[in-house]
Amino acid sequence: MAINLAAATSLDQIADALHVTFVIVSQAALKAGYLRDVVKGAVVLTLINLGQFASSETLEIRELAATELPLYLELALIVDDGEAATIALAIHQGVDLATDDRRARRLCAERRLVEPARTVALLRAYAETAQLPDGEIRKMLIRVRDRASFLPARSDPDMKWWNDHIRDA
Amino acid sequence: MRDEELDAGGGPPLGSRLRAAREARGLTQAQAAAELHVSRPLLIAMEKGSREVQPAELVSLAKLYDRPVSELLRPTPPPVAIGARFRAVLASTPETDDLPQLITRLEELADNYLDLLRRAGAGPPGQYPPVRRIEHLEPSQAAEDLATEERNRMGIGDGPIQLLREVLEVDAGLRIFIEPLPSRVAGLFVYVESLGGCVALNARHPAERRRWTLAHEYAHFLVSRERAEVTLVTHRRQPPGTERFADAFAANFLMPRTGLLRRFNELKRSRGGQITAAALVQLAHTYQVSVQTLTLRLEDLRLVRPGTWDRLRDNNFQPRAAAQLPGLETDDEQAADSLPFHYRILATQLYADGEITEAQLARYLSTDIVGARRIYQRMTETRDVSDDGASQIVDLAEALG
Repeated sequence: MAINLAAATSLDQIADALHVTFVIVSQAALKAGYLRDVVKGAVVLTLINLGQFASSETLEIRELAATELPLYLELALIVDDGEAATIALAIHQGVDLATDDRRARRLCAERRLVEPARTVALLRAYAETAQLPDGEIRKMLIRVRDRASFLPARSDPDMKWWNDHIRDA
Repeated sequence: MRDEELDAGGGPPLGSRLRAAREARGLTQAQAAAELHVSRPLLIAMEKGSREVQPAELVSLAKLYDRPVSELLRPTPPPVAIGARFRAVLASTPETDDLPQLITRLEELADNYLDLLRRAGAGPPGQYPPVRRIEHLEPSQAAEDLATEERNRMGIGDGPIQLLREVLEVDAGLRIFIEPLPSRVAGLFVYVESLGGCVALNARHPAERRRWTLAHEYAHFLVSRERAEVTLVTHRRQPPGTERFADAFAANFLMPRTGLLRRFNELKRSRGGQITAAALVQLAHTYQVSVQTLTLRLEDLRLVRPGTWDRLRDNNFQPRAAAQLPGLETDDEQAADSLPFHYRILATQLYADGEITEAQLARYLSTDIVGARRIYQRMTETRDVSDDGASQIVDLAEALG
């Protein structure tokens, strides 16, 4: 999720517009990786540096407490370290989750967590709150599609909004 | 020691995984215990499984060993047989200082493969041909006979093998990885019961050279699969018998006598009885081997005069530059896909079915999340034409989801 938002625009802008502070566990922050930008016809890797937001109110990087580790390890039997730590944090600390991943969303449902937010819903909320013109929305969605190689699931409730805005004018 | 014992690594999965991770990190039990602020006997007990590992200890050990917690928690033991099999070979192989790291990497890839198979509830693909006995046989004749037999078994006639890697993965059940190896190392071969024959080819070598190495390693698989092999790039006139056999097998398997003779004669006839350097480039391209390999094979078959390659080289013949002129360069991008195709299919299918997460897909594919998305999209689309003849991309993931 952080990867998609980082590809869309500055995380600062989304956090400011939506009046939220994003929280990420250190295990997930380490896995952010790179965006793909095309420069002069060649694919260039752009590091997703989530640490740059850690000192602002945009993003908080948290470590799991000792009491949260048993659940983290239980979940790490099923999913990857970052996802396990994120879900353990959400369960223990009541943080709202955001993920598009099918397996992670199913695990959240099994653990009776509130349904996680999706990328397109967050981008739509940001676009509407910031009153972005259609042209800007389109550019933002194209950045998410191309830089992060993100495509919404067919079942995404905001799929129509995504398609309507990313389509050529 | 039997393979199952080697594979198991001794003790329960977590303990044997902790031990394997520590050894791969190059730490002694005393060093790891000191880093963890526990006694050495306590660490030994954790590795033996006689003392439960506390959550905080496991997280600390994962950090110390630079391994994901989720990997240490896999319910199966690590495939330590690979390292065990290579140890004897490394002792007798010169200039292989950095190979232990590569063997650790091969173990990691094999572990990932086995984990994918476990998650998919599948077994490794491929039908293993029986081990052939070649003792007391003349190496070059035995190699030609076996190459012909293998081609017949696979039903691939006597022409060039266009998709060698796919043929050997699917029909022979080899697990073929392409990894950056030291330049002097052409490839590695090891056989483990749980996964079968595993080959690592040098990503730094050209695709043509990798094909040769692959055919060479396949020869080892056919006749001596119990012995791990490190194949070095050598230009010795008299290599050992097993290497001479493997090279002769590669030549016959990639360029069978009858098919090569027919194509060579057709080419010669079409050029008025003359064989030029450009003709050699064309023939090498057809068989996807280097011009040197092709020319030496033609010399062996007495289709060109002995010393032809030496004369070409002395006259500054540059195969790479010559091949570029007619636009015949091979597809390096496709050849650079480092993981076995079946491995990638397993990972892709598990992700499409919602059985693994995006981060797990990225870990299996040895890339980051955006890289995994790109590979997934490439693996789940196919190019086709619509009813009106327009080019289109069909998204298979939609059908899978």
